[in-house]
Amino acid sequence: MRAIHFMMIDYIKVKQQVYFMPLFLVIALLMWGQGYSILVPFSYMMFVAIIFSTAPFGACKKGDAGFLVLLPSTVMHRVMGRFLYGLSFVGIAVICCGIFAVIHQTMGKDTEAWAVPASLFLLAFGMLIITVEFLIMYLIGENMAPQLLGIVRVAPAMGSFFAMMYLMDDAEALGDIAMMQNRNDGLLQMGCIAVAAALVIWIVSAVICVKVTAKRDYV
Amino acid sequence: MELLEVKNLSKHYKAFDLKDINFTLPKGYIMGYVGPNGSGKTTTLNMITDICKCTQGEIRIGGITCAEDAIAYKESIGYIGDEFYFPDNFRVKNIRRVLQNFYPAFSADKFNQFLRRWNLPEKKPIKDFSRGMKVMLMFASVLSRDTRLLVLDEATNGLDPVVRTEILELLQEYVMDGERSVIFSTHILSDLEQIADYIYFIHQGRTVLYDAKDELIESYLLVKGDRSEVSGELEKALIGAIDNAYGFEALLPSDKAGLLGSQMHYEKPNIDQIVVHYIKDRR
Amino acid sequence: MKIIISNQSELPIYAQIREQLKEQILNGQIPEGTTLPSIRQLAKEVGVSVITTTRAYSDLETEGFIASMQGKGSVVLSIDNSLLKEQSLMRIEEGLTTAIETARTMGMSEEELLEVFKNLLER
Repeated sequence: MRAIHFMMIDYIKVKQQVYFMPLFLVIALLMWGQGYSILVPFSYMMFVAIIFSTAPFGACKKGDAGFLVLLPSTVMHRVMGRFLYGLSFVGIAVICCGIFAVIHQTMGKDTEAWAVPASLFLLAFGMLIITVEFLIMYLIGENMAPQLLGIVRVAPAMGSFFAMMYLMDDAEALGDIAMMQNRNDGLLQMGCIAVAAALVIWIVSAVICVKVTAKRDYV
Repeated sequence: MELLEVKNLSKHYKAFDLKDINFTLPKGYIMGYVGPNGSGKTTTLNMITDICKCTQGEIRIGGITCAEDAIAYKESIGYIGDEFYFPDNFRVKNIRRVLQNFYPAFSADKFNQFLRRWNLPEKKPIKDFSRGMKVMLMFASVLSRDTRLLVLDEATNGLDPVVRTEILELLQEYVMDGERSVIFSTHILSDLEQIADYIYFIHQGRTVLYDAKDELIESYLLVKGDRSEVSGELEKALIGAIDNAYGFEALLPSDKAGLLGSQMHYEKPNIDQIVVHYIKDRR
Repeated sequence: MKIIISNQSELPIYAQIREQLKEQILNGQIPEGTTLPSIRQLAKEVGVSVITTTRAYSDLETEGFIASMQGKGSVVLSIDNSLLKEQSLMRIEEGLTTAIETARTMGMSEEELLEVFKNLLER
């Protein structure tokens, strides 16, 4: 419960940024409207989730410690709160994508056969990126310059988004994926395993971050 | 009945060491933690509030350490920092919400009463509050729940005398029932000196003096006079003599009063004067 | 009850409180049986530390001016006249002793000293 309360605090801290969320949603919708593959808005939503999930790290001040650290809690509550906050954006992205997919279906548009496993891989990939960023923030982010922090936050998300777009645009790559689908029906199971693995890595990373920060000042 | 126990507390930094801080603060009393800037006051208080981890030693509040029960330990502390510690974009309602979430004993009614009493606007962004309003908002957040130890880190710095006086009364009201205690740090004592029961004086991370304030003041005399009158033995007994063109001023242990010459003037010192001369002595 | 703390005074604060209370008890401004404010109450009202007021009260207690009773606080005792007399007598003796000593160092005779004493009495 305390972890969830810390998650709420993170939301309040970055609320000005959260207000932009609908804007990003509109952009995703526009992309989808352009007739791209449904995976384009999906990967865009994942990109947005990655950027939002690390926002509280940028909003941390040493001075806040007097309030936040003193709230009756342990390091575990505080770190878990931050991890839950990150995961909540993945959740939001998944819900948005789910709504897209349902609309997509009811409108009778074509869905590529490999869209579902690909989305699962995308989800696992997004979670992994967030986990790695969280590890970086907790392990070495403490004294990072704000400019560098900004780059560390945005670069992996941008990189993965453009890589995704490139893959999508590249007909050959598409063909490869399609071929893979034809050859292997186990792709869906593999997607599920990837997501499960990402979740496990997420939990392990959270535990590592708790252990590491427990000995630190001002966290 | 000790409320706060600090044992062999040490903190090691690259450029600074705080060593062997030892004291106890009984229920219902006020301690002034004094020393010049950079002497380790904030470091000590940050270890008491668990913002910093100590390198060595132990701190107990009401008999428990933070490691034993972090929740109970932190619930018992009310902390007012030298910096305004609410996140920048918080509003008063956010603070109330968070306090409600975390402290079972928090009373929104009491909190609102304090807001009204000190004219703290509900709507205004808190980062636009004046220094005085910010301090009072911190007080409101702390006094509207059930705490046992108030920790104030330079809380009255930069406040006008009216607010300072109000805070003095608040602190005395706080310890009134004899169950709760206050520890405050400051480098300027003046008005705070009067209400302190105990004084802990540190300099460069080391303990200089620790005693009941009245005892401390009585153990020293502030001596003023002409240098030519100072004999060898008196010279040795003087603490931190400061010379000027017309004479000198120094501290003298009261039991050495017999060494004073007839032309010398002496009076009871205040804590600030004791601090100044001790620091002069250590240089 | 009236207490004024002066920072300029040579007396420590606890002694200032003690002396002022004593004076008011002796001249009847604080009558016998009055319950004094609690140590903490007084500390808050006067704006001094609890240890300071504790010391003032405990001094008054040892000197027999007040008694602290469990649950009732500190109560002003009846001023014992013999105690008062004894104290006054002591003060008189002190003054006269000083006078006699001064006279002796000056080599005054007993008669001369008595003469001075008589003259002063008649004045």
